[in-house]
Order: sequence, then C-alpha cells, then structure tokens
Amino acid sequence: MGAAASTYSLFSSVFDRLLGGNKEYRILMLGLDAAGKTTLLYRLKLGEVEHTVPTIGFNVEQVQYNNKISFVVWDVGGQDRLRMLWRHYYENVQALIFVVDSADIDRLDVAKSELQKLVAAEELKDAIILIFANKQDLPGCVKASEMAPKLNLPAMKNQWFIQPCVATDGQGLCEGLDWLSDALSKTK
Amino acid sequence: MPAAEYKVTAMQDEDRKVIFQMPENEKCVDCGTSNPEWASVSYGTTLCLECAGPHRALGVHLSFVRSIKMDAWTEKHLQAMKSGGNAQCRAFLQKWGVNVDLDRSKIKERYESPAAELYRECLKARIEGRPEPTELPEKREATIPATERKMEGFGSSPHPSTLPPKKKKFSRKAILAGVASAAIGVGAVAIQLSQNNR
Repeated sequence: MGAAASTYSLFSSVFDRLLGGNKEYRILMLGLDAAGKTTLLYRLKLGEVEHTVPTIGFNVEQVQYNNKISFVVWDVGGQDRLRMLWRHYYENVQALIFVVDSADIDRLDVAKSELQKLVAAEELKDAIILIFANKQDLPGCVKASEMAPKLNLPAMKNQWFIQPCVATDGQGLCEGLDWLSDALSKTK
Repeated sequence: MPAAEYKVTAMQDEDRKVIFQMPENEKCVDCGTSNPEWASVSYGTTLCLECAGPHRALGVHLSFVRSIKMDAWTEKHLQAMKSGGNAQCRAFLQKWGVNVDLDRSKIKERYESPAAELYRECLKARIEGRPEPTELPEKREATIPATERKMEGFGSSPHPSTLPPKKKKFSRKAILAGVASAAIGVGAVAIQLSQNNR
C-alpha cells in the first residue's frame, strides 16, 4: 500500500513536471491598512469584487492561476497593531505580494519602512517580491516609476517587480501574476 | 507628511474620552450603530466596522480611515477628531442639501458630494489655523479612465511577456504522446507474453 502510494506520487510528480506542473506556492500578501489586499485576493479568487470591511486577523484562499500554478495566499490585516503579527506568517513563504495604495502619498514612507523590515527578516531573504501599486484609477496617484525609488526598491537584494494595478476592476493583476509565476517556476 | 509623525502611539484613554463625549460620537455617523470603533479622520467622525469598509473604498482623498483601537494616532489626526464630531458633520452636510439618513448605502454619494469636500477643507483649515472656505467647489472627476492609466511594470528581472519565445526541440505534448504510446506498446507485449505462457 505504502509502496503503491509512493509510486503513485512519484509518477504524478513526474507527469506534473511534464505537463508544466501544478506546483503549489505559499504566498504572503501584506501592506498597510486599506491598501487593497482583501479586494485583490477576492478579485483573484472569484474574479469579482467583494465589498470588504477591514480585516481583523487574516484571510487565506487557494488561488488557481492559468491552470498551471496554485497559490495559497495569506492576506493579513494591516492596522498598526496587526503589523506586529506579520512575522508569524513568514515561515515557508516563497513569495511576498506587497500592496501599496498609490494615492496615499502621505504614507509612502510608512510603506517603505514596513517593506524594509520585511526584507530584513531572515525567513524572507530568498522570497520573491511582487509589489502591486494599487488604486491607479484614483486622481493624484503615484506612477510605478515614481514609486520604485520612493520605496527604495532598486537597493533591495530580493528579486522584485513593481506592477501598477486597479484591484477593483482587475487591471494589471494578470501582468503581475505572470511575472510572479515565471519567477517562481525558475526557482529550485 | 514625514514618517516621524507616524510614531506608533495608540489612542490614549484621555483622548478617547474627549472624542466619545462629543455629540453623537457614541453612534456611527452613517448608520447609527452603537459603540463605533473606527474613525474617518477626514471628517472627524466615528464609524462602525461595516461602514469603515465603504469609507475605505472611497480612497484616502475622500476618507482617511483609522481604527480607534488598532491604529497609531498622530497629534494632527487627534486634532481633526476633536475639531470635528458626528453631529457637526451631519448638520453641515444637511445644510447643503446632502441626504444624511442613517443609511450605509448612501456613503458613496454622500462623501463624493461637493459639500463633503467643502467640509473636509473647512476642517483642515480649522486645524491649520487658516480661514475656512465658504464656497462649494465644483464636482471633480472621481476616477481616471482605464485608457489613461500608466500600467507598465518593471523590476529586477524582466517581465516574461517582453522575452522572445523559447524554441523547443520537442513540445511537452509530443514527449507525453511518446511516453504514452511506449507504455501502450509495453503493455501490449506484456499481455501477449502472459497469454503465451498459459
């Protein structure tokens, strides 16, 4: 029985490889409060916008992308006091999605210092980082090209990509996930 | 606003006391639920969790939402709360003909109104010690149309869509078909052998 099971798992993993894999990745989604993390998660999961209330704690969903890649996404609340809990979710994370409200210019500095704390954590030193510059539909929002230096992205050691997006209508989300799936598939 | 103003300081009991003693602050400004634990700093009002959702969806230019219990508070944000209050906000909006019924579904139209913008500007002027504006501003475009947004991303490695397509000697399908036909062949031979052995 055990031998049969292990033979099965060996074959299924070989076939998965041949078919392009359906590998599951653990992804942590963080960002300041009201950045749009929960809206983004449910847009990815359901393809529609849920009317969200502030997340007290976390949401976790499995998201199948392009029939090829499966993400288990942890969306953790962003209020100041909840940010102290972020570190409990770092373990075994292959990628980090960091969501920024591009219209909240007053708090870009706060977003930058939170991101710097994340990349300084030992558990996240190899994590691939996708930054979603969300709310690109709001007047006065910061473009990705202006946001990258403000978040000090070029100095970051981790592999990173910044993608502008609008979580409420889905614009830019596929482009971000395409980069992330490609980057993850190239890791060991 | 410099990051230094964002020290993690929970709202102190004495501040909380002052804020909740202001008229109508013990009930959510938009739906009337008791014991609101959230606030819109832009209007100096208190909100329940359910109304905090649609407020956050407006964007920080229309409503900057904080949790009374879980967020850090700057001196300036506390000042906005102490200069505002639910009763004052509702009276102001009502004076300008905005519907202020206790109805969560009205939040979007209520706070996208020119009157709400005027109130935000008045509150800001009051805190900064400037004269308060008195004229209603013109209604502005709420969002940037999809075609006018700047959507190009970039990073430490290129986007796969910008890379030339890889040339494959054998496609995965071809390999799989090969493996499958080989397996069928082996199976057929095995069956043949077992029948011969009988």
